[in-house]
Amino acid sequence: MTIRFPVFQRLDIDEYQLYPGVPDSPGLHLDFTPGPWIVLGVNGLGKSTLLLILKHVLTGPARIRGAGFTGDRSDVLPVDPRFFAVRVGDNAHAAVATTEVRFGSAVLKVRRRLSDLGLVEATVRGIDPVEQVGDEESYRALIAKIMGLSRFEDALRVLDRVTFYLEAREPLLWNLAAQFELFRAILTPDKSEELRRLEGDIVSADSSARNLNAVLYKLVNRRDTQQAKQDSAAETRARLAKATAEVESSEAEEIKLQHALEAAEERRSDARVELKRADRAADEAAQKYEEIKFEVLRHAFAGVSPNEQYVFLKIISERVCLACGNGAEAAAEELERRRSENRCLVCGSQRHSQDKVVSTTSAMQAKAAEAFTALQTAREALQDAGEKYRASEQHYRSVEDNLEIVRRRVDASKRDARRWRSKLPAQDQAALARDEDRIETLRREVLNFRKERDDAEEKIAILLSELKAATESIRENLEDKFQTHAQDFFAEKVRLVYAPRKDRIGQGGRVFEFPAFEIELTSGATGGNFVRRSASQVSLSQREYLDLIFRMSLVETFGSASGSFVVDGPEGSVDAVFAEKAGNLFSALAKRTSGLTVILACNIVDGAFIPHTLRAYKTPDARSGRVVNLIDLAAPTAALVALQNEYRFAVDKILAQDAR
Amino acid sequence: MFAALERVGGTPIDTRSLHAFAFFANVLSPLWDLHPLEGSVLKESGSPYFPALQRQLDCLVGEGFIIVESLARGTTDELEAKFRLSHERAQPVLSIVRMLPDEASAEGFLTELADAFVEIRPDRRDDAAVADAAYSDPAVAQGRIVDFAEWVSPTKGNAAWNTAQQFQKYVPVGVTLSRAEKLVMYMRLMKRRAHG
Repeated sequence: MTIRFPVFQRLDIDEYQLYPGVPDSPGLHLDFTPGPWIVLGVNGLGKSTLLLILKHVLTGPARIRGAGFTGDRSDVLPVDPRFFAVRVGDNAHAAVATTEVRFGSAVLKVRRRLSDLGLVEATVRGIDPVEQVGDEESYRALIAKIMGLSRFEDALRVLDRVTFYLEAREPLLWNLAAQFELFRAILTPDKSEELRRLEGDIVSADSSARNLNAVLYKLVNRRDTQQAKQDSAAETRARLAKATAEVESSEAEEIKLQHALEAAEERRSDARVELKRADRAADEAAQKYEEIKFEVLRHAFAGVSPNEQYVFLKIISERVCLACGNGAEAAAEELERRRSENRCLVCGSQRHSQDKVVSTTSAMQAKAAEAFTALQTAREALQDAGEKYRASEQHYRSVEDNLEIVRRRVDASKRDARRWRSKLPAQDQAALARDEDRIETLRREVLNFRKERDDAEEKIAILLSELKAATESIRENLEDKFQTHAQDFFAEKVRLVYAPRKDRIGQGGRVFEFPAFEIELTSGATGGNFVRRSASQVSLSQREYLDLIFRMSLVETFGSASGSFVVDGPEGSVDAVFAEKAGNLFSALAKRTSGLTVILACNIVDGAFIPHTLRAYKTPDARSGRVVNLIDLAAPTAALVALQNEYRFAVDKILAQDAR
Repeated sequence: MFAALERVGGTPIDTRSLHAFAFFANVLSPLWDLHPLEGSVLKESGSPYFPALQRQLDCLVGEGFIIVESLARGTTDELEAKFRLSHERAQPVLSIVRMLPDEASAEGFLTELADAFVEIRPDRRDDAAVADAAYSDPAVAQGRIVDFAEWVSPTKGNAAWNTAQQFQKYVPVGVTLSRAEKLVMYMRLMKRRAHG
C-alpha cells in the first residue's frame, strides 16, 4: 500500500504585498530541496501565512470537516477565498502563488490567484499523457489520482491530518474517528467512498428513526392525554401521570448508568492489564533472585538432591514453606546459619573441610541485594495493582447492579403506565381511531428506517473487517517506525500500541470495532506503563510530539519515506532540554529518509532547537542556505522597523551556533 | 496434567513446556465442555506463562506430589528445573480423584492433549503455544491480554476453539469429526507451525 505524499519543491509568490522580497529579486522564490527548512521570522511577519499559502495553493479554497460520523453533510467544507486578500492593502488584486510539488514520479505545477484562491492553471508532468486542467473540479480529481487515493476528500484528509501540522490542526493520535477516516482513505482507497456512503446512510436512517420516534412519542402522549381527558376518573389520570413521569426519570437514569458502566468497563480493563503485568513482573523478579541464591548456595547444595535444593531455595529466597504455605522465617534463618557454618543443609552435621564454602563475593552480595530490592518493589507493585483491580471490579459490579435495578424499575413503571392507560375509557372513538392509524403508520416508518440502518450496518461490517485486517497487516511496521523516532525523543518509555476500539456509528444500532492505535507511556509517579487514551493524560509537549511522531511514522510506512512535513511553531511547546531533542528529531528524520522535506516555521528563539534541526549543515553559510529569513523578505512590522538591528544580530547569532 | 503427561512419556518436563501445555489445556478445554482453569493470559515477547500455575506447582513440590528431577542455572536469569510426578505420593490422591465424574472427563481430555503435545519437539513446544490462534491474534498487541474465556465466551470468543471447529468444514460430507479428532488436528497444525 503506497500513498504518494506531496514533496514540495518550489514556491513562488509574486505581487503579494506581504512578501515584497529584495530589490534584485522581488517577491518570494523558494526552492525546497529534501531535508530541513526553517521559515524564520517575528510575530506578524507572515510565517504561518506562508505555510497556509503552501497548503491552499495545493488544496484550493477547501478544508476537511472535523472527524466524526456524520450523515449527508459534505466532507469538504469551503474556506473564505479572500483569506489572503484581506491581509494586504491592495486586496491582493495581482498576487499569484505558484508551487511545484512532486508526487512519486509526477510533478504538479499549480498556480492560484491570492485574491480569491481561484485556479489559474495546473499541469502534471511525469505521467503519460501530460495533464493540464483549468477548473477546480478536474483539479480535485487530479490531486486524488496523483496521490494514489480515490477521492479528493481523502486527499484533503491525508494532507490535513499528516502533511500539514499547522495552528488549527486536529489531533490524530488522540482521535479515534480521525484515525479511522485516515486508515479508511489510505488502506482501503477503493472502498473508501462506499464506507463513507454507508456511514452516512446509517447516521441518516438512525436519525430519521429517532426523529420519527420523537414525533411518535408525542403523538402517543397526546392520545394518552386525550384518553385521560375523557376519563372521568381523576385518580386514574393522576396515577398514569405519575407512572409516565417515573418511566421518563428511570429511563434518563438508565442512560446515565449505561455511560457510567462503559467508563467503568474501560477502567476495569486497564486495571486488569496492569495486574497481569505486575503479577508477571513479580514472578520474574522472584526467579532472578532465586537464580542468584542458587549461585550463592552452589557449594552448600553439594550432595543435596535437586528436589530438596528446590524446596530450600524457595524457603531461603521467599521465606515461605512450599509444603504448608506458611511463613518460614525461622527455617530460612536456620538454613542460612547451616550454610554459613559449613554444615549440611539437610541434617545440620559439620561438613568436611574440603567442602568449605567459597566465600560469597561482594559483587555477588550487591547483585543479590539489588535483586531482592527489585523483588520487594515488584511485590508491592503487585499488591497495589491487585487492590486497584479489585476496586475497579467492585465499582464495575456496583454500577452493573445499579443498572439492573434501574432497568427493572423502567420495566415496572412501563407496566404500571400501560395498566393505568388501559383503564382510561375512550369517549371520542373516531378521533382516537385516527390517532391510532397515524401511530401505526409512524411505527411502520420507524421500523423501515431501522431496517435501512440495519441493512447498511450489515454491509459496513464486512468493509470494516477488511479495513481492520488491512490495518493489522501494517501495525507492526507502524509500531516499529514509531518506536525508532520516539525512543530518541522521550525520556520516558513510550510505545505505540494497536488497540481497536468499539463505537457506534449512529446513536443507536450496532457497536463496531474500528482500527486504532493508542499510546503507552511510563508514569513519572509510578514507573509503570500506562495507557494514555486521551490527550489530557499527557503534557502539552508530549501530546504534540507524540502526534507528530505518529504522523512521521505514517509517512514512512505508507509513503516509502517520501513526502513533506510542514509544521508551524515546533519550538513552541518544548522546554530548553527538549528543544535539542526536538531539533535532533527533525534532523534525524531528514537524514534517515532522504526523500523527505521538512518545512518548519519558527520564531527567532534562543536555544538548541534551530542549531540541532540544522546540525547536518556545518557552517553558518550552509545553515543560512536552509533558512527562509522573512526579516529580509517580508514587509516589516512596526516592531521589526524599530528593532531591525537587534533582530538581525539575533538571527546571525543563531546561525553561528553549531549543535553540541 | 502431570498424570496425563506421565502416561504418554511427557515427563520430566521443563517449566516453559509445562506452561505451554497448560495454555493448550486452557484454550482447548471447551472442546470437552470443561471450563478452563485460567481464562486469559498476558501476551509477552515469550510464550504463555501463568504465575498462578507456577505457585501451584511450587506447592505441589513442597507437598511431595511433584519431584524436581534436575535443577540448573539457565542461559537467562532463570533457573532451569525439570519436574515429574511422584507416583508413590500422588497415586492415592489420583485414585480418589478419578472416581469423580468431572475429573474423569478432565483426565480423558488431558491424556488426549498430552498425547498430541508430546509429538511436538521439546524445544519447539513453547513456539507451538505462541503460534496458537488465540495467542497469535494480531488484534492483541504485546503487553495486552489474550482473553479466551475470562470476559469473553469460552467458545465464541476463543479463536483456538473456533479454529478447531472449522476442521469440520473440510471433511467429506457425512463424516463427523469427534472432539478428540478436532483436538488432534488442531495440535498437529500447531506442530507444523512450530516445526516450521
